[in-house]
Amino acid sequence: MKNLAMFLCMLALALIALYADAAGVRTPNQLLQEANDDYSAGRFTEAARVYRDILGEYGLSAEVLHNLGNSYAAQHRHGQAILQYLRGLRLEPGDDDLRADLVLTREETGLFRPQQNFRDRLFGILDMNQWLLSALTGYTLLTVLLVCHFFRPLTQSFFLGVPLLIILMALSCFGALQQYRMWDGSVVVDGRTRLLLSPFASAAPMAVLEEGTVVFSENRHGEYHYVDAGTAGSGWIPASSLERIRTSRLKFARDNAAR
Amino acid sequence: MLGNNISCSVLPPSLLLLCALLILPFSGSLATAQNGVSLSATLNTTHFSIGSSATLRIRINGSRSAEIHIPEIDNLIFHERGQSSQMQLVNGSFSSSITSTYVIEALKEGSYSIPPFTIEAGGTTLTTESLNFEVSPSSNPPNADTGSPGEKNAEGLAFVSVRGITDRAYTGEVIPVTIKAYFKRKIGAEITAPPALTGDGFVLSPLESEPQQGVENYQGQTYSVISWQSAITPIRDGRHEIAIDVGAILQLPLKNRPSGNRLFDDDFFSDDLFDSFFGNVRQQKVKMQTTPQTVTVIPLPQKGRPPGFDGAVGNFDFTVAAQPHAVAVGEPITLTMTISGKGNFDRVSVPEFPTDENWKSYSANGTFFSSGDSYTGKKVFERAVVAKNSALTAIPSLRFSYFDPAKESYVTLDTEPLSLQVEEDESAGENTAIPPAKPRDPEGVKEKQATALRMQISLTSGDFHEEITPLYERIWFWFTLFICSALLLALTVYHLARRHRLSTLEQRQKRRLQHTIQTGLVTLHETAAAGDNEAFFKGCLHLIRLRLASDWNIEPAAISLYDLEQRLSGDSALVKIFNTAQQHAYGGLHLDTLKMNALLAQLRRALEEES
Repeated sequence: MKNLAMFLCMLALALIALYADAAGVRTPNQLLQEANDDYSAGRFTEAARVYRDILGEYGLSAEVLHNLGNSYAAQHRHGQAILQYLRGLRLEPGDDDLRADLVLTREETGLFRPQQNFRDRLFGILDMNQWLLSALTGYTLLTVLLVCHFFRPLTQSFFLGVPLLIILMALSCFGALQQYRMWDGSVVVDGRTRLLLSPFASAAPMAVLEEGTVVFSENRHGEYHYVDAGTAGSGWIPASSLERIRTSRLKFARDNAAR
Repeated sequence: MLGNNISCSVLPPSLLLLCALLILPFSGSLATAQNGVSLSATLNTTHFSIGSSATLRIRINGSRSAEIHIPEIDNLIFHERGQSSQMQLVNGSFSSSITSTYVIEALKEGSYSIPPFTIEAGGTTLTTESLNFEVSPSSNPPNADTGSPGEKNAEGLAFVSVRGITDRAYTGEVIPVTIKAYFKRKIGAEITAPPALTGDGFVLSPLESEPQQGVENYQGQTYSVISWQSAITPIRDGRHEIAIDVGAILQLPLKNRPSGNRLFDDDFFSDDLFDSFFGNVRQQKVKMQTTPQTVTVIPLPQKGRPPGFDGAVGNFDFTVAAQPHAVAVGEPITLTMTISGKGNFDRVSVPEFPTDENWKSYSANGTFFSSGDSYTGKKVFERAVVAKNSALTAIPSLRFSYFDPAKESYVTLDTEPLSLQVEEDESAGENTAIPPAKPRDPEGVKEKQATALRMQISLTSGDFHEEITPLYERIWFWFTLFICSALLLALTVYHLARRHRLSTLEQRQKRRLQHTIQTGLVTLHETAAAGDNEAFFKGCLHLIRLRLASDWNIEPAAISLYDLEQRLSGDSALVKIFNTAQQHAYGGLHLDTLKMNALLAQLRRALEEES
């Protein structure tokens, strides 16, 4: 009886696999291979389309976002490339390859980061999620230590551990606060986007934002966002010129469908 | 002279005749002789407006002093402007007169009547006749003094005009305007709000910090003029009504300065400063506005719009210079692009460098050099470009497009290609694997690195996430926080409760011990009274041990004299009593009731101190 059940299960799995193959459903790895082939052959537009399909269908992955960014960079669509690199870094903050490509793309487009002071450099080591995780870890360890001390009083480890954990938590919270605004930015994806004085097309421009500039939306009026563009100042830019770094699989799916 | 003229004679005819006979020998002209004291009260006008004033002049002939009692009338203010006296001696004929002048200011329009009032002069009492006049509403309302000079109200004290606004304009076209604020010569004025644009669809360029001042003659009157040069720019198409507002404080002289004394009719005394100093002015805050003008703003035509057009409207010239003209592959060349002329320079953006794989161009920066205003001058852009191929012989032509509102068409300016000599990069050596570009500078190296890095595409898809979310939006983050916080809270509550419970138990034990000791002391007192040495000393030992056992946390029976001597000081009463009890137990010491009571008192004190 048991053997029969196992046989039926195997049969069902085989049928499903056959059906999937017959219906042309490809696994993410197959799609990735296809996109990578396009990329290697210099068909960057096709490669980008397939990478976007993967992201819309299976979800966001730092690796796929990195490849998508590379495809855009190869097409000189630096705004989109920087956007995808930043998205990848949100998922994998420690990916050095991603970070290096981001830096190089920024240099190519002439974008530069203002010189950072010691505090910015210190708290820029980790991104907001990492600082939050660090704070949470410190808090959990502190709880465990206090619980252990309650049941079996600890002496040296307790009196050394508690202040260290409290310092770690305080630093992490401060770091998370510092990175909070940076985390939720948007990227200018249109070349030569004008920073306007008022939210309408014929308003006087105050500055021109290069593609790939990270801005922070502070307000919205109709089809315009009021953004803080750092050294370029604040002003209105069309919503269509911006893409938020935070995104979801559904958004990719919607965009793919619209395309 | 407009107004009523009142004169009356109050001397009897016989006296007048006598006076005439006396004066006659000395006088050649009796026509002007003063027959007695006479009075005349006149108004210089029977009609004036609010903001203006009338002058009441009271002349008393034949007296050198007078006491005037001006009646009080609602909504009328009488400002005394002094008294003048005149004395004349003509051919031996002497006459004197005094003139008092009042400025009448009305607070409300309407018909007014100054009733007859009395004047005491020369020992007689004179009475005026009533004076009637009308006051009309202000002829110069504070914020309605508008219009261009052609439309100016003849009685206007100040107005503002704007010249240069056209009936139709293109979006983005710069329209130079001259704004002038006119103030009547004798009026002091202070600008409180510089010209501001009223109406949508236009922006006014920043004004000069120092407006020009001058004097202009308009319709036969002299005006002090403050003028600003600026420009307005339509930003939205359609029909728009615009006007210019200017705020000012006027120092209006109270009209009809007393003119009894010709000395003060001099221009010097008519000066604003003089008026202001002597309080003859009143300040009035005004907001002047030009007559609204309708301007039709036409959108820039879509037809014929060149691809690189960025919104520049005006009349421009475009030149390009490059430095150096001979470079090695990879060496930067600075392109200086100058756009000069007249127009909306804020919309003049850097001309694009043509996309070419043989060239690498960097972002450009631009600086505007004004020729005195915001719409005339030149904008200079500098862009670094790098030739990546030694076969290049010229810098490609650059293009700048603008809309010329005078020609009503787009104009595209193309520069001539600039000749260039590009040499092979000797330092590149054998590095010719990536034709045609052979970069040698660090940027070029970076580019190669970038290409190499970007070839490192991921072959695995990695972990998939539904969305990019911050940690604080994930459930497990808050769940962990909640669990830890709940644990810590529970521990704290438990710890506090335990401390409270222990504390309560300890206090209860203390109270019980206190009670036992008190009861024991009473029993000892009874024992001492009964003279029972045995029970007394046994009770003493028991109480001492009970008391100390609680503090020392040991069994009462385990406490010996040795412990007391070790832990308490040698002169402690408890040690002595304990020792006495021991002597009784082992040495047969016997005490009478009196001594036992004394010992009991010592014990009570010692136990109380100990607790």
